[in-house]
Amino acid sequence: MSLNTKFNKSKRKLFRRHLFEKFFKLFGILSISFALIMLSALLFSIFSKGWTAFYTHYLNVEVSFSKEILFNGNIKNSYSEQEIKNASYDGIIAEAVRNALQQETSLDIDSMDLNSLVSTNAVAQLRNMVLSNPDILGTTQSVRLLVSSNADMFLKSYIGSGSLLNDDEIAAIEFLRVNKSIISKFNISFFMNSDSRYPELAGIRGAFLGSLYTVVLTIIFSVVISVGAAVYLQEFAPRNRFVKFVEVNINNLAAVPSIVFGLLGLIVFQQFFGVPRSTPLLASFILTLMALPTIIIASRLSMSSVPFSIKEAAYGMGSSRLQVITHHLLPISLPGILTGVILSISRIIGETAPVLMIGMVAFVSTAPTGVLSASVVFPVQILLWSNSPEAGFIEKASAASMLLLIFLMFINWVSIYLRNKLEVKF
Amino acid sequence: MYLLIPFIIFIGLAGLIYYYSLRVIRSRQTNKISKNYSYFAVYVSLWTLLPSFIIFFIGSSFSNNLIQKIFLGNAFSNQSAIVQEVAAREVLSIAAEIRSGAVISDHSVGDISNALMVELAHQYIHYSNLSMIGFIAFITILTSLTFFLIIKKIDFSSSFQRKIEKFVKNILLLFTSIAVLTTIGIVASLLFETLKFFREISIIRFLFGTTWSPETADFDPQNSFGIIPLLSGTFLIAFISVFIASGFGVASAIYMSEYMSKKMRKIIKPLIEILAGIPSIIYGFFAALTFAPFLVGFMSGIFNLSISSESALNAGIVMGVMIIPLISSISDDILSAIPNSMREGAMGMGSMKNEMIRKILLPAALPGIIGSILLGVSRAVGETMIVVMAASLAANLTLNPLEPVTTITTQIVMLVQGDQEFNSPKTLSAFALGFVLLILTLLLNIIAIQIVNRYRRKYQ
Repeated sequence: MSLNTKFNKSKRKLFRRHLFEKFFKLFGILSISFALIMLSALLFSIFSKGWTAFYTHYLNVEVSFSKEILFNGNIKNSYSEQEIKNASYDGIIAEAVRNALQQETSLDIDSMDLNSLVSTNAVAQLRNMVLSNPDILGTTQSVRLLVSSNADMFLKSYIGSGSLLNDDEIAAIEFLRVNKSIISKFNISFFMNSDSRYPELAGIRGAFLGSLYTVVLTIIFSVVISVGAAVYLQEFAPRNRFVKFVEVNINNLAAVPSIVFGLLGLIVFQQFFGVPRSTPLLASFILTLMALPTIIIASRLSMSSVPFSIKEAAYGMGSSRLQVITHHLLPISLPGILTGVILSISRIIGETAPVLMIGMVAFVSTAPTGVLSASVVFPVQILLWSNSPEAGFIEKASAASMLLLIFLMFINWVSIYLRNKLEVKF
Repeated sequence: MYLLIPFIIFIGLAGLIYYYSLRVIRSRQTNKISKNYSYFAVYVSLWTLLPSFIIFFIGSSFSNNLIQKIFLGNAFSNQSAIVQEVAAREVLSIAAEIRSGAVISDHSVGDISNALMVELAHQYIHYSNLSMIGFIAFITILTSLTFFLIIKKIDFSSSFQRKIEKFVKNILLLFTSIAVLTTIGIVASLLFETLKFFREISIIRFLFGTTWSPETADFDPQNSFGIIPLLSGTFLIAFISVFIASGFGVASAIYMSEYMSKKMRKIIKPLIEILAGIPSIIYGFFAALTFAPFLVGFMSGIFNLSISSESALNAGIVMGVMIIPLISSISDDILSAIPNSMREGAMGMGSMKNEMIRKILLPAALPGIIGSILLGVSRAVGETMIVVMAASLAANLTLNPLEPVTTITTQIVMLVQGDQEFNSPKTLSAFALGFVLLILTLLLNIIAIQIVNRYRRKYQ
């Protein structure tokens, strides 16, 4: 073999090796981009669908509170409360919408269901107006009514013409929008209402309060128990079999699937101890047990990094064990403990499976009044809404997911900030 | 408010006892060296309040149960058991509403009218208030008695600081044992219910049966609970997800630790770790509503394949994305634990970076990476919300990723949510499934952690 062919051969081989190196790198880049693309697809799909839930559409109409229509021709000077409650508000709403659509001649108004354009809540709204001020009977008032979920979904272009809205209704909505009768406004009811059967009225207040009660209780229980356990294991525990067993145990608990904790809560806390079902208290017991391993491990790690010299100096000054712990060990290891607590709490907030096991999945239309009243938590609300077929609920589920994600990111940022700010380096 | 009153009384009693014990020790002053009176006061308050607190706690919950059982049992004695239970719960929720001052909503159950329920709730509040007042009076007397007894009997010359430290140590031991009690609780409760299940269904049919259809449990219980289709579905989804996560996770870990500049790494690594912080319910939501339609369109558009919208592939891919950060961060740790001398040696012999990685780093890191993959499998097997939302409910014995399958966790959720009859084989089977799940994940974890740890020690 001549030198030249040898040289060419190794040149080709080198080329192949370089090519392979390029492919190898490309595969690495591709895998990172796959993860990032999926992340952005997830965030984009949730945020793009979710942000529209923060505004909603209202219909400004002139409603004439005609006694003729309201009371079926029974015209008097004053009406009893019962009569006012039972009056036919549907009639005056239909009349008001009809008047608003009067100028649009292409519509076949008579065959339309005019009430389908406004929310079912409109009746209650008008009824409350009359109840609080019966003098408006017989007058004409300018009223702002919430539009129905279907109309709202059309205005946000989630649905088109189809089984939910016919062409006439769409033409009517278009006309009202061009006419500036339908306006969009910040959706305050999304934050002030609890769950509802009607998508346009459903809000996150109940789920928010349920999660708040649950998480606050969980923080109280889990911090006390796990920091105590960490102090014991780190400072008091003799090196014997029992302690070894406890350590292995804690590590294994961290790996138990969350749904198994739910089954435990169902049997032990609900059945055996009789804690009321679907309550934040019951949920917090389960979630506390789930948070324990994470906080114990993080706290121990943080405590073990406290230098011996500090503890020994304190002992040398005549401190007792408890004094060394409360005056030196805990304050120094606080940032680490705090990070562990925040991280486990951010996991707890999004935890769904265990609370499903204890029946926190029922429809609850009122906000919880305490830790012993039935409620749902935030992630379960997302589940409930995303299981509903209506586009309005899907939008709400996206918005709730969006709020949850933003909150979790904020919490993580806080934990990183606190760690950097408070950490003492030795 | 209702629960606050005893709480406030306890705090008040504690304050009083603390104050009086301080006065007692000041007036005695037998030990001139130990001037730390507060330890004495804390010690006395602890031992005075602890017995009455325990008695109050146990006694009041017990008496509450007693009132509920006797009083509400009598009120609805002519109703069926289920109605009794529902009505009793409703009365309690009315009582809660009355106590919190909320508007009383309609709570009528069947033919029991709301007015009667409200009446009962008022009576119930009356009785439970009476028992509460009785208990408070009792514990106040008990506390004062124990206080005087302790003051009489106590040895003032002993070191109270040491005693309190011992007490605190025991409390901390109690907290530590909660972790152990949790494990015992999990195993005992699952085992107990599982045994109840196996008393009705044969264990052989459960472990080797090939049909899973709890809906037919009423007329053919023996052949309705075969776990094989659930296991195949669970492992099919877990396999897809771990396949994706380990491929992309290990590759991105290699790229980040070996190729990327430190600056880029600082940006990219946290971004990938965001994936680990997203709750699984949001992945499930994404899988069911965005990814499934996309996958159906993609598969039929490009490969002309018809794929179910509840396919194993859909849930598997999304779950894989969730597991990527787990595998990539452990692999990253393991790669960075390999000493640089090995890299430099390989590079010095003229190898390219990919050859160094493939022939030196990966073989050295392999056990650790396998451990991380096993951890990923255990995560995938125990994952619930993604499969509840994106996988099917019907058991389907197939290994075709395009078809719908169900998993153990999905079935547990469905069975426990379904009905609240705790002794039907349907509900009991959920606990048997939970037990299988627990054993599977624990085994995978123990093996994985052993492998990872053994490897880590090698280079330290």
